[in-house]
Amino acid sequence: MAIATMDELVAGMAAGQQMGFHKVSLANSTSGLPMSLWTAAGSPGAGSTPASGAGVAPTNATGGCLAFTDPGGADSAYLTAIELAGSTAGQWSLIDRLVHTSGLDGTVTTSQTVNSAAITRPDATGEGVELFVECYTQLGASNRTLTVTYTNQAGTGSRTGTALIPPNMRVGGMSAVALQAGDTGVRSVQSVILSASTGTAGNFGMTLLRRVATLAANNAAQGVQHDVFDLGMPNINSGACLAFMMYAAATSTGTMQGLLRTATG
Amino acid sequence: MTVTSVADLNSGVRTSPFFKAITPNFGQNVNLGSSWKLGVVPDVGVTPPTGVGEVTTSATVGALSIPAPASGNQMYLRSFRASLVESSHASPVLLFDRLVHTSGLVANITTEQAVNSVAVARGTSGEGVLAFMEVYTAIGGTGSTVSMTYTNQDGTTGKVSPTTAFSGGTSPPTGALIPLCLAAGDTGVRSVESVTLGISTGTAGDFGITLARRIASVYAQNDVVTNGFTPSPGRKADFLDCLSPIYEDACLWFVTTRTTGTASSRLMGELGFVDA
Repeated sequence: MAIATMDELVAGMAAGQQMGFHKVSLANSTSGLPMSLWTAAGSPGAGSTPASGAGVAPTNATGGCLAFTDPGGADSAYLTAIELAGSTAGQWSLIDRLVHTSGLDGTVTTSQTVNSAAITRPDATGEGVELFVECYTQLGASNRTLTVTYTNQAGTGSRTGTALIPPNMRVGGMSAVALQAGDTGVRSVQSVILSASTGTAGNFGMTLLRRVATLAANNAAQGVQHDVFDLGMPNINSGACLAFMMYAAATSTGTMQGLLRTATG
Repeated sequence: MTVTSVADLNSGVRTSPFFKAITPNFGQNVNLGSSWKLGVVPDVGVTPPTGVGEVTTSATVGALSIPAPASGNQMYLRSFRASLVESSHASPVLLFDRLVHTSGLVANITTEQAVNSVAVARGTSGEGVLAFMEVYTAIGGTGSTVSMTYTNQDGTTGKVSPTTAFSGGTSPPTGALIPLCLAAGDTGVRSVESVTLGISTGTAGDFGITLARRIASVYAQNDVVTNGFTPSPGRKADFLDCLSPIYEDACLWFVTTRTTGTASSRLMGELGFVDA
């Protein structure tokens, strides 16, 4: 089924889910770079560092994600409202973590194998999937470039993209991988190579994600609300591992809290 | 029965107004402020029992009076309007169903303090339930940390939360509210067994644990004025933002973020309900 009328929307919202959340602040190394709130304490509790190597395809059963329950039968789930406020201004994205890995070393300057796990949700082609570097243990003081070899949305391998590794990249730090010209998504990651050592081994990995919604607050503490028409009623796929990332207008993400709602139909 | 159409939303809408007098320095030095011990509508809430506390209901003194649904019907929140009247108090206004509350804990010791709270019972096994440290008599001004041992949403006992820091400088007053983090992977709280502070705040005071389920929120604008009585524009959430089931015996409760203002402020508005 799909929600196709206003009455179905109302019925779906009345039967939908509500997920409250709050997260403590994470320190960022550089204002304006994205930060993952995956390992931030709060409610839900912090997520764990993913498996190394190929990583895993997390689901709504993975500790650290919002408590999303799959709709039953042939129904679909839709995001219909989100309200959020934080002590730092910025832009938050609700994301579905499709695949995440760890175990990459910030001092190794030869090719490091990833061969990431396969995407399992309906995004399996990788169309529209974004790729980020994500830090789980702080890296060294030298900024570097990471070259990533990946398979694109069409299944073409040996594609390359680059990401900035900022100085002292902290836990939760993320950096977007710029895809090769013409690519519109990522299906899997095969390997990465640093331009030079960052100075500290640390621990970082690759995260494939799909953005569900993005909202911004220009001023701290004021908060922001989007209803179903603001959001465009995006689908939340069954098994979605829902979490947040943030572009903070400061060198910390600040505390944040909010609520999101879904409709089922 | 349940809401299944737009027509259901427009049939028999009933409202419950609220008006809270917010004291200066509300929630000072912590994240949030609880309106539970503030008047006027609803009335000043009762200080919870010590020890295991109690399950709160719509009959608990301090809960917002809400209409009862017709027999066999389910009540829904249809709209939420709120404004804050005060200089420079920009804040979300959060609406919770207050499920369990306790008191009798002191803030000048660092040994484990037993709570063994009653378990949440209304519409949840603990999934999505948030836990707060709530101050009923001002505690000391020395910054500290708090952690809890609790039973999670799956009924697993002995879960230990990460420590949550709260800053010092000015004693967190009555109403100071600190959200507590959960252990990695947890998504709710069924009951709280104990609480431990990292450092004595210097004053015993009185605090407790509040377990609550979030329902809706609106975000009142920052409206810097000089006389303290100019209304902020206020904000409104309609059914597109906030359609939520409300349990018949819900203990509805408001929370805002802190203000460091020296003027008093007022939180006022109304909730709209439908039942179907």
